[in-house]
Amino acid sequence: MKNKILIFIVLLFIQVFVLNKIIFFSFFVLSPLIFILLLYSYKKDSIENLLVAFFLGLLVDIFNDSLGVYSMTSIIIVYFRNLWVLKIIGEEKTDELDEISVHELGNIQYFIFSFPILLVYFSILIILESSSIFILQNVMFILFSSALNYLFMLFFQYLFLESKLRDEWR
Amino acid sequence: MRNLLKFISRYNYTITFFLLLFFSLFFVSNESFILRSFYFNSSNYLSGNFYKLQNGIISYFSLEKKNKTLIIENLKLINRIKKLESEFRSGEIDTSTFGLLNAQVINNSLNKSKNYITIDKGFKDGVRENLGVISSNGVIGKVKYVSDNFSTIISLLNTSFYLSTLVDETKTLSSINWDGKNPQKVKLLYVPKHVPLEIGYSVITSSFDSIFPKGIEIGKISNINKEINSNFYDVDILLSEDFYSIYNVYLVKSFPFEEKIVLENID
Repeated sequence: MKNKILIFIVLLFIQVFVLNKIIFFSFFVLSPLIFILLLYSYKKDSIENLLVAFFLGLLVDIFNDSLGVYSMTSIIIVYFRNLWVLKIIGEEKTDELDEISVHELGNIQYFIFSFPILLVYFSILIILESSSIFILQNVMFILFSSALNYLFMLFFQYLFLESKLRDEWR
Repeated sequence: MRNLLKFISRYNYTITFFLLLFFSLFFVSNESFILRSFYFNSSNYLSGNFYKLQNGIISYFSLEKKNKTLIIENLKLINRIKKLESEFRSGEIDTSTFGLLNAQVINNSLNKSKNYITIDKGFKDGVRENLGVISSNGVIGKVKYVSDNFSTIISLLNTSFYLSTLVDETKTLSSINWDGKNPQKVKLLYVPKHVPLEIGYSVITSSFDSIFPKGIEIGKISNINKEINSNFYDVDILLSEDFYSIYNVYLVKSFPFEEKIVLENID
């Protein structure tokens, strides 16, 4: 648990101090905040989930001078994530999950679960942060950012999160 | 009443969601939100100190670049002193005083539609709200929030920031505003079509907003579009300041302006 909190804090700081400043090739951003939001453990109708998301977003907002943008995005994401995960995995299995990671779900199911959420996340960010919405550049931005963040999310999870399956094999 | 409680306990998850959504919407839409000026910005104690720490590490890597810009600035200033000395002898100069205060940029952004800059000087150093901020190349913005040790500047690259300007060659009163697209260009507004404009004319501050002294450079006209259905030109200005690399800024403390504001507020 301590380990997890440490990872959360490190990710948040990377987001605030490094990645929010960089736009790679003027197209995509990496946003570790979404890693946290997607990973965060599911509980049925838990207000705790929403509050954590709200305050994480608020923290990013304060450092970013964009009050409300990230907090709004993260609560919307968490609310709909909790509905979406039920649709994808089914209610019985979701209750057993500790965290919603690729180890627990498997590659294909994890892709189906996380990619639409990434698309929604970057769309909301673009709508709130950019002044012109319906231009090609923004569509490219959403697609590229989602794809890249998905890949990085996989890297991150394979590197830093322990798989229960692996422990069983030992 | 019992039914109401039952309803709340049944749907408390959704109710919390909508409550938080409402809060965030309120945050987003309300720019003059009172808590915002105290806590929720990068000039507060926590984030200000973090950014200072970060800047302390990063600034060593850009010393060479900073030195070069300082040398160029020095050259410019020497030339200006010489020019002013000759003007001073002929008695043309206005002797009204402007105090400048030096500050370091510790946080900056370009990729949003509402960009802010954080600097390492605050209330203790004499920074107040609505002071103008310039650099050696031109206008940067104006002070929006002040804490004890830090302040947040609303950048010229912020879609809700308007600035009163003059076209130097024709002395036309106009305004500038950023359209949120290209961080090197801003729009020049309210120049009527009967005024002869040409590419390359320079745009300067007008001092009518009581924030900046007159004649500080903003940029040069880079594109003029007459073919729009309006009484005004559609003009792009290429900024003289490179917002990608701002290190040193100066806050303009202007003493005559206080008198001017008091005078203007008399009924």
